Amino acid sequence: MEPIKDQDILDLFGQEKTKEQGFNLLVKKYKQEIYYSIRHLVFSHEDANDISQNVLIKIWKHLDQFRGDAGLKTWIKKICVNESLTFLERKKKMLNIIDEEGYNDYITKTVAEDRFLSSDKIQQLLEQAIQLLPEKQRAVFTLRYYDEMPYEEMTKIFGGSEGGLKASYHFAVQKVEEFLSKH
Amino acid sequence: MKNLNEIKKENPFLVPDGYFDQLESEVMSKVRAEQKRIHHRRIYTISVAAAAIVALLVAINIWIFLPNNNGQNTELAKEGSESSILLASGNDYELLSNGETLPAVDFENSDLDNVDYQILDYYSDEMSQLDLLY
Repeated sequence: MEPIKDQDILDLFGQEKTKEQGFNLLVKKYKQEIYYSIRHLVFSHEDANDISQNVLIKIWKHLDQFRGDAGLKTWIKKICVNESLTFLERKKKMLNIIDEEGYNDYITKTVAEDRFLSSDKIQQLLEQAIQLLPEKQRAVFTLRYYDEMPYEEMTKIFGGSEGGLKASYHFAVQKVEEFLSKH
Repeated sequence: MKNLNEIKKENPFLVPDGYFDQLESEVMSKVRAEQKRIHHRRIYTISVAAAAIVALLVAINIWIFLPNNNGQNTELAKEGSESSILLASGNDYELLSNGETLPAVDFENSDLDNVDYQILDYYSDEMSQLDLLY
């Protein structure tokens, strides 16, 4: 099967008759990337599922406003990051966790109890370390580490400079390695 | 272990069997429902607009083709109490309000020789019906 081209998706979506077909191609092409980039940020499958659906519906509603300044993939990732960060902020308030220690305990427990996580102990530790990063730093880290997204593209998601994002990633790596060395 | 490079880079997350197919079908059915809703709303808006236009056209037609539309309507509206009675004579209207009768023909000053007696008979009949009413 030939890979789906972004331009084909946009062309089909641009016409009323083929709009749904174009969107269906987008879902087929990006559903896994959307889900996993959200999952890296919010961790639980249930939350990632809800946010993925919201993100896809948002894409359906706003794709006609996509101007092509950034690539389609970057535009989609930006929606994923924004939706996930908004969700995490709400969740933190809802859980009413005020101190860092309480949050660390919550993350450790959540990672240990998750049914949909690799049984590899090192992977579990790494995930725990990632989940302990501040939300925005976690987003920078996962986009760079797992997706290998260039910094220039990341500026279109987070704003700011490439230097700032490099520094953020560097600090995140330090924290993760520090956590791994302790456990 | 301290260095991140020593860890194999792999996706640590698992998903339930058939999850991505399910995600796709759920999203597509939501999108179809949303599209249907928009389509229905569009039809409703068009119907309401069409009904309003038809009502406006009917109102304009009534206004244009209503007999004696040359200012007498205003007069009628002023006099138009519930007890008013309209007498039609051809295209003409005479207003009789609250039992007050207006002579449709001024017999005293008219030249009776030139009066059409059929019209006189008609008015006479109408007046006698009014007498029965009061």
